[in-house]
Amino acid sequence: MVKVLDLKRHVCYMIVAAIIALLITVLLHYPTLLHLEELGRIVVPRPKSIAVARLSGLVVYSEERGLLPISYITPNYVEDLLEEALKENPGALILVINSPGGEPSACYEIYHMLKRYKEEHNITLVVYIPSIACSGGYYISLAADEIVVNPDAMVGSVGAIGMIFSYVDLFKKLGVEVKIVRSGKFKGLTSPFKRIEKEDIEFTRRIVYGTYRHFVDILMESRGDKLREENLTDILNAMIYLGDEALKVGLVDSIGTLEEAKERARELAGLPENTPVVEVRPRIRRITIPLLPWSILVALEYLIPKAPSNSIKIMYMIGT
Amino acid sequence: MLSTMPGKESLVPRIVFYVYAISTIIPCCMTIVSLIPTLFDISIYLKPISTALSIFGVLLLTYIFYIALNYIRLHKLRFSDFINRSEIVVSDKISEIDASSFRAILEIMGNRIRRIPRRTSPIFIAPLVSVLYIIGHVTVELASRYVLEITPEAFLEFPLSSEALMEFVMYTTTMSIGSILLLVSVILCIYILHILNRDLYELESIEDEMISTLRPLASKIGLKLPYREVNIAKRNTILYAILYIVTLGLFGVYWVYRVAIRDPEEHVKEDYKVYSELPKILAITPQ
Repeated sequence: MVKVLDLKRHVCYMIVAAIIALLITVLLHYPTLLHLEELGRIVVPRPKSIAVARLSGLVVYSEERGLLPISYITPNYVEDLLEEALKENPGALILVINSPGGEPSACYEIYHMLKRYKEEHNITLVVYIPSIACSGGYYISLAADEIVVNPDAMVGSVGAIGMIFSYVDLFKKLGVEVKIVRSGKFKGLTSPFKRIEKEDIEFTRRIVYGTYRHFVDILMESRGDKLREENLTDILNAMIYLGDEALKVGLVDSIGTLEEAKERARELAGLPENTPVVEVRPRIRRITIPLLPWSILVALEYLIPKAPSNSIKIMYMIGT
Repeated sequence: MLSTMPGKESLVPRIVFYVYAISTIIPCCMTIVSLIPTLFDISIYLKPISTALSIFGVLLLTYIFYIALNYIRLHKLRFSDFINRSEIVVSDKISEIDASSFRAILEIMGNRIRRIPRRTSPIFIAPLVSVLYIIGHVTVELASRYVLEITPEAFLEFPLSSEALMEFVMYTTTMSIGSILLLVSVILCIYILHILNRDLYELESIEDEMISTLRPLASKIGLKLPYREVNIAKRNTILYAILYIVTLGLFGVYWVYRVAIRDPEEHVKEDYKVYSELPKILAITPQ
């Protein structure tokens, strides 16, 4: 009996301790309860800096994809990165872009986000391409005041690409029959449960050329005066150039290393020589293990439709 | 005679220790995880759990300290009382001279017990650990609510405005007070663990000395007083404190287990064997 009473006493103490611990934790970690979100703000104007931020991977709208270790550039990620860069009071921002391309809508959003950012905050934007900025990767680079490229990097591939998939033969082999009931003749275009027909090709072509036209408009608006006319046909036919070739045809502004890009950014922004260079990282870091070559990952992760209903893919993408 | 022995109920219950160990080991592991750069973000999400468990763990540690310190205090009082009330039984085998020499030895033992430093009351010192830790933790957390938009370069280049300076002084003061309180709570923990070990060690050596004096007298009447099989070790507090800090608190769990759970338990067990024989040779004045 004594033992049971003792145990009760100990358990009671433990319960009281747990309640106290929980109460303190709730008050500390949910500060809105006590209006303690921000006790004070110590703000001191900083000297201007040159911020360096890195964008690497497929340009996509949403990060919620498979488990494959691919890096993504999403509008949310870019926004987060730009917000972090602002804390460094940048006079110039260098974006190190390394991307084979991606979704048109995400490219469009990131391009305009960068444009707005540099205008709103009066920041000189320089893009440095160390390895690859093709198609959608190049699209977002067009927001820069100047593009510096590594001579061995790949640049260009101005164009869009579309693919349609059909599972009819596969389903036939599996013994599965699918009948499609449509409310209108355009409903279910590019459905993977029917054979690819002329209208599907035409529809895809229309979408591809539509997004391609948007890309060309942005290219002309940003670099129309810098592109060499005799190479324009090749450029608009999605030719890929090495860094030094890209300079000749006017796709980029200069050749160099990241150090030269920093120097160029400093000159363009009119910053003093001792301006500090700060590396900017997003608040939430992502774990990526770049083990496989791009093409395999892209094929596995993105281009093979995950659900049969998602059978059409339009991309600003290199080599697919 | 046996009434002088501390009963089992005054020892730290193991269930409390096990819960304490779990609630301490998990936040320690979380701290270690947060040191791995790729897992840093995960540790941010787990921070509330870690905070709750740490505070819970400290409150349980307070309870453990209270029971353990109280046990030592009572043990010392009872042992001292036992010495005052004990008298050797004079018989045909034990002479008056033996009895008076034993009385003299008991007096020396009594003086030695009195020389063990008087410690602060457990009811005050044990909760102090929790109070200091919780206030320190809350203060540091509140200090982190300050939004700092300042770099060392900016501090040198641009003088702070009076408002910003005031905020900065408030921030550094809050953060320093919190950190100092946390540090003091850790030092206090180490001190309590130190005195738990030292006091019990000291008491046990006095007890052993008394028993070894009694042993030849006991053998005269054909009584064999048993030896202790396990003795309390004198632990190196500095080494243990270093290990405690290096392992980010994990070693502390073992330290608490040794000095607050295992050592008193073993001491009581050994005491029982020895003291159960003593009424055969000693006469104890009733209270």
